[in-house]
Amino acid sequence: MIRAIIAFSARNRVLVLLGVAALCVFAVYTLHRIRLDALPDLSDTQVIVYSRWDRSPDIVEDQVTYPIVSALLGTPRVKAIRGYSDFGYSFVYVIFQDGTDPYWARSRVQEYLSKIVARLPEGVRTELGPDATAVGWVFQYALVDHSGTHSLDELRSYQDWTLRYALQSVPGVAEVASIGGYVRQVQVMVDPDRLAAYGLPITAVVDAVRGSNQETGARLIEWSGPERMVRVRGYSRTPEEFADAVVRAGPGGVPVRVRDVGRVEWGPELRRGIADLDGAGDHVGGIVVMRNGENALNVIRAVQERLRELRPSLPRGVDVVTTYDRADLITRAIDTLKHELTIEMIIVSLVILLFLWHVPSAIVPILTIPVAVLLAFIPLYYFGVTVNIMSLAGVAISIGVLVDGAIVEVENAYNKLHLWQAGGREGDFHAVRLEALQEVGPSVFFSLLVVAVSFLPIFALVDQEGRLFKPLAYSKNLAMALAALLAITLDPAMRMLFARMEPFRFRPRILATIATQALVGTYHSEERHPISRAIFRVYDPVCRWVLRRPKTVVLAAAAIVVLSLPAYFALGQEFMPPLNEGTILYMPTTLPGISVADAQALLETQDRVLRSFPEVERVFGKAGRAETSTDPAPLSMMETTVMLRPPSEWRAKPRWYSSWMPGFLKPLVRPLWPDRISWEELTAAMDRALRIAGVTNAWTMPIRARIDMLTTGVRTPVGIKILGSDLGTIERIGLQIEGLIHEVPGTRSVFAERVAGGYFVDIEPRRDLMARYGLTVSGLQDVLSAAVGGENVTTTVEGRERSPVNVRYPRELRDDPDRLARVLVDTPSGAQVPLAEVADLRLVDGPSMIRDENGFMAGYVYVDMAGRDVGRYVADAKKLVHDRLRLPPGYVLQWSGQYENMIRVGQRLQVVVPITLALIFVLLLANTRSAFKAMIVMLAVPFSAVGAIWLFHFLHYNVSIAAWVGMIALLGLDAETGVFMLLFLDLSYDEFRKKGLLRTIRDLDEAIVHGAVRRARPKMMTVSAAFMGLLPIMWSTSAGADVMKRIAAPMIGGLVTSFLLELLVYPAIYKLWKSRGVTKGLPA
Amino acid sequence: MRRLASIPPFRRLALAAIVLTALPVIGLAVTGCGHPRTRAANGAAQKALYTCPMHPSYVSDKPGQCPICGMDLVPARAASAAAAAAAGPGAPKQGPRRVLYYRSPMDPSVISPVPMKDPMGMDYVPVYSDEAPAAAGVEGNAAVELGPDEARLTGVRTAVAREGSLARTIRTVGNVVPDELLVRQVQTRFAGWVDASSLVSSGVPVRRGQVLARIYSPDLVATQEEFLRARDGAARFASSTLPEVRRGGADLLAAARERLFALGLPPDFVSRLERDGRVQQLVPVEAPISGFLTARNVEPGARVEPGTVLFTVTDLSRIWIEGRVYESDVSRVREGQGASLTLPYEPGMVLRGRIRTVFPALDSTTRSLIVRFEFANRGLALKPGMFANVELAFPRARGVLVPESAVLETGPREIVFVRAGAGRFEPRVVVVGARSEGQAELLSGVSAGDTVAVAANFLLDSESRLRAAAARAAESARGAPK
Repeated sequence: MIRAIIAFSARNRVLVLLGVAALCVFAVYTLHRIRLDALPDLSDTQVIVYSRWDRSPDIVEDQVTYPIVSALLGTPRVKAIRGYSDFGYSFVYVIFQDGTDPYWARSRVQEYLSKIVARLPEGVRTELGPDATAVGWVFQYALVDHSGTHSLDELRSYQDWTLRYALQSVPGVAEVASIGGYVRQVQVMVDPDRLAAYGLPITAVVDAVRGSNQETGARLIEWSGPERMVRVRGYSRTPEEFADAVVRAGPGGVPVRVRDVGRVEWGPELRRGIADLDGAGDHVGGIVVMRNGENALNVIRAVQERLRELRPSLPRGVDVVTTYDRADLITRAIDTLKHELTIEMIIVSLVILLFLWHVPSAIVPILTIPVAVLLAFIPLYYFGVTVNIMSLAGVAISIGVLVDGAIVEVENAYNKLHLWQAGGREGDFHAVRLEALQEVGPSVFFSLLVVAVSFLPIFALVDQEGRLFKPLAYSKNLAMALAALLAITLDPAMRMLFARMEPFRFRPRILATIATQALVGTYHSEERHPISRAIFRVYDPVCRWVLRRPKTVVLAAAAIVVLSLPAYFALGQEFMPPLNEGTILYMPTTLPGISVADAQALLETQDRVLRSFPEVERVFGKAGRAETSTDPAPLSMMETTVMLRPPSEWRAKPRWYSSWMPGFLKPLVRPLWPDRISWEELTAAMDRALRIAGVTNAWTMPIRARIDMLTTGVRTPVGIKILGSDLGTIERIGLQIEGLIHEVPGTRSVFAERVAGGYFVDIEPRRDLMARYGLTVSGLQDVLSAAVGGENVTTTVEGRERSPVNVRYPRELRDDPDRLARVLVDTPSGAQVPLAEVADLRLVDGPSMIRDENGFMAGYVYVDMAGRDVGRYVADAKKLVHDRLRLPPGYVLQWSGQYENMIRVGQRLQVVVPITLALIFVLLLANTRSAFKAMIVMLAVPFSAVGAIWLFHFLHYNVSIAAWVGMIALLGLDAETGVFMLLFLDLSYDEFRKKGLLRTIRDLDEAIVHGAVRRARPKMMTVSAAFMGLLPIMWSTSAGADVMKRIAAPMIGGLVTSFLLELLVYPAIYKLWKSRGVTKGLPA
Repeated sequence: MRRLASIPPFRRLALAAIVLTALPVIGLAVTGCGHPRTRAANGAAQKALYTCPMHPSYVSDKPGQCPICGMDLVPARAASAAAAAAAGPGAPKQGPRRVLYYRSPMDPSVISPVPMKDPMGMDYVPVYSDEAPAAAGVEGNAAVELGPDEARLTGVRTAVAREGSLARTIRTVGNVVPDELLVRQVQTRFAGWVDASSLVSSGVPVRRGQVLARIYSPDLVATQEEFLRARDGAARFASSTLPEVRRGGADLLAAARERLFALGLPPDFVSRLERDGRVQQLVPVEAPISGFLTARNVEPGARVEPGTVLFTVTDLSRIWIEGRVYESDVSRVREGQGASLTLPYEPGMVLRGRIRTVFPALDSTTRSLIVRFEFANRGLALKPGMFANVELAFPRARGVLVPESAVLETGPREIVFVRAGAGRFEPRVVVVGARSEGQAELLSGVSAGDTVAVAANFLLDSESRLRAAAARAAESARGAPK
């Protein structure tokens, strides 16, 4: 069938060319519409239920998180529900099974949530988080006031009520979160003494304030013609208006107004997030959160466009400064990849030209590359795969392989035509050419198919790994599949275009020669070709040497494979290869409980130090939380985005060539000996400069950090969840387990979470004392939450803007425990008593954050293990814990962790890998028609692993799934080159046998040498095309190159060794295999 | 057929492979032992520790990823110092004596990390590690050592604990009331009618002796006439040669005068009557003291009976303030104690006064004790009915004082970081007595002259706890059964 397709394409070449051209045009169109981002979205399908209530973590847990989690428990397709309660916030993450549609999931959550929302305490604001994650933080900005006339609260108001909505309406933006500055608030500060003197409870003031801020209507009246709408005005807009609200009419008609019992003024709302720009103090900033699965680049461009439109309407002297912009990274990464693709294409083209020395033949593979790459975008677009570093890397690593089919076809045609020319031009050369194409066509198609099939295990990956690498697998496989298709359609068609065999003869002679070279070309025999000659000169004696001692060679090869195993185990492990994003995210952390003022001072100090580095362009620090459910960071975590100048402007580092080498030569040596300080050196210097007591520094990059922080549960191989109802007991059990697990062989580390870390002031009502005054607990609480907590009692309506209004005691009356003890509580008997008379005040510590797992409070014990089978390890550990630990009633242990995933992946791979291998085997079998040959071909796999391992060792790379992806890509490539090697050995063997030249072992040697050496060119071509195609990746230093290097490195290392071993070991094995037949004189 | 033929060499290959499986063992042994990085790590006496930058409480002795968030672990800082601190003060110090810091020969609290001379040219004295004051072990907190840069960045500032006395204050709100002793009521001792013409209205200031009202009293007219008759009689009898007669006339006059006085007529009214000899129809009622006419109870033309309260005059030059003191503070207030007064609506004004009376019983409804303060009312700023804030200060016994910000309350305990050598801070558990005016009195833990950290305490505490955790981890790593 493949032969038929080839024949059809060869005959209807115009049709095929037009069809391909049309598809290319369509591909360009899809390319403009496809979604672009830096990295694939790795988050689970999750819905965040986000509640705000200014209460301590345990209260939030009891009254908000727990009811919500329990209400959501029955939601369909839910994998896990995790709740986190922090001060003032409750996050419930509902994680759905892979592949659940996010909007379906959201409506389910909404449905189940509706049961409970009405029953939550008053004042709790519950909402669904946006359809986005923190990974969608694509653009951040800060408002800078150059005029010095705008206060922070004005800027924040502008951000909250104008800028935010303007940007949020940009398509693709899920949310714009504000951070920094402070929200303006009308603060009613009540003097408790005056309340006492007037005999008023604070709740009376609260009611008065609330009641003075309403606006309503009295429907319509019809009067003298038109109907008139009746309005009852009553909004209080300014502190003065609130101050005039009456609390009570005193005796004699003298009113007691709010201003008589307190002060009303503008003030800042409680702050849970701070922003800082360049260490210059508090700034107002915004974070643009992109909706899941949008085109990041387009969203950012649209946001920037909207900002440009808004610029004239900004308050005078205020500027919007970009503090983070992912578009930069995306364009740079795509530029890098474009650059690499171009270089690869040029190199591959040069390789082909060099080897064939025949322009018409070389043009075919050269054209195949861009066409295959371009066409791959059509299915990518329809599969909904985003274009990102991973998917482009998939294309980049397949370039060298893409052309293999074309190379082999062209080479064969070239060879056949040369033979036809040399053989006296018998018959129609079109037929010869077609036959040549058809001869290798199926092999080529199958080998490309093998490459594609070998990628199957990647599709078996699930969760984050799956999401990270599937785009790569998709793009690579689609490109390969298209290349395979093109190899049997476009390539024959194109090859047949260059129909002329006769050199041009017209004047001027030079033009004729050029035309001949370009369109007809001259055919050289392999022996006469300079490169082939060089190969022969080296390879011929080596091959003969190998054939003299085949067993030694085979044993040595096996030894090398075996020796490489320990090297493999010495390699480090990592989940994701580093992607240099070009922006530093500095994440210092202190212990929980830091105050806003301390956090702000710390943030400013850090930013000032960072800003003093000459490499730094801008520093934007954030402590605490932005106003978004995608940001769960407490105040103790700071995130400072450090925008850097281009690396070419970094501080110079003298190198051996710096002083004398002319400038134009430096770029050549720079990749090897960079003359600027490196990323690592820069962050190390920053780390040294930022040693602050109590602060742990982390240096990462924005996207990387956001991916790391996606709530994904336990990240160690084994995790033990202790579920129960009391955190103290859970912690105690955790510590016991920690001790026990240490004894299990294979344990690397155990860590039981500690819950404390929050500082509390407990006010415990003393009911006996309260009873004397007729005071109830709720009466006490009402007073305290108003007087001390300062609840927001109403909201002003000032045009578009809203500000909360709060009533509380002045700060100096409630800011330490002593003063708190004197807070006056009004009692039903009319007396006002200090708090200390009716309650005990205690300073205690407690949980700063509470975790809720499927409705139980949860504590985790993290276990890392190594050197054993995970399944057996868990069984041992379970038995030990079961034997030695007595759990109190109501407490449950759950064993989970990555091991579940590992086991699941393991189980899948146990099925998928053999199937893949079997498929490859079957394909090879179908191609070679010999089980033994197929096996020999698959021997290339361990050989290639050797090179990959040692190159990793040499480059100090860690083993990640990226490396495995590279290995798997290599597997297909090996099989392919192996097939070709064996193909030519077989062809040669059969030829010798046909000619009856196989009588002795020496004859066999000759046949093998002939097959191996004389036909080295196509093998060299395919391998060097693949090899040289990957090399530029290793030289690249720009954005996105790191990830590709991790994938390319095993391919490069593996290609070298597998090719060397193929060249050296295959002849040896082939000889061992065939020598029996020869000695028996049975060349069957 | 070909396939069958191919098996024997393949089997030979397999055999070779099995033989070669011995190699990995050798290979492993070679690479395992010879790995330079591993050996260096194990060989060093101090094991490097790693911690998660996001979850500093997680400490591991190997690099890797955080189990909680998956971030790369970073080397934990200065685990050596932590380990040293964990060893505790009692642990024998090993190795050569190490100079911790140099101190001034004159003032031990002045120290320097490098040798130097003091202003008098004397050399600083080295302080060796084994001489340094032993740290009070605080569980869960380790000593912190900071470089000069680190201390600057962290924002650590210090202050010296000193002996001093601390005033404890009670703040209360008081009601301004008139001084009970400076309130006068104006009454007539006779019946009559209030004349409409000369009545003074209430609320105005009055001087002592000012006429507040005039009253027509028929009785008084009679009495005046009697007086006049007595005067005339006395004048007549004065010329009498008989001493009895003379005396009788004078006595009569004196008795009549007395009656006028007894009826409350002012002396100058009486003397004018005596001089002029004219009966006044209207009798003046005068203000007994200077002050304000705070009440007027009669309307013009009203009839007054003896005993009717016509006016109240209040002197406000000195006022009382009635404040409330709650049960817990009752035992502290004494009569005569000084107090200061501020007005919420007149910032900046402070008046000094004292406690005049401490009431003997608590108010049963408010459960508070009324304390009466006495203040001079300069400029009459205080008006009865006003609220005023009164602060009572109690001087306390002298103690060790540190700025309040030096004390970090971590819930179950209170910690102060004391400088022990250049850049080294040790946690001490302290007991805090009183706090006032930004000062805290420490009952134990710190002695006068100690230098304590007063800023960035939260960060010092964090660092201290991190180091303690690292030290624990190091210990458990040493003691782990592996």
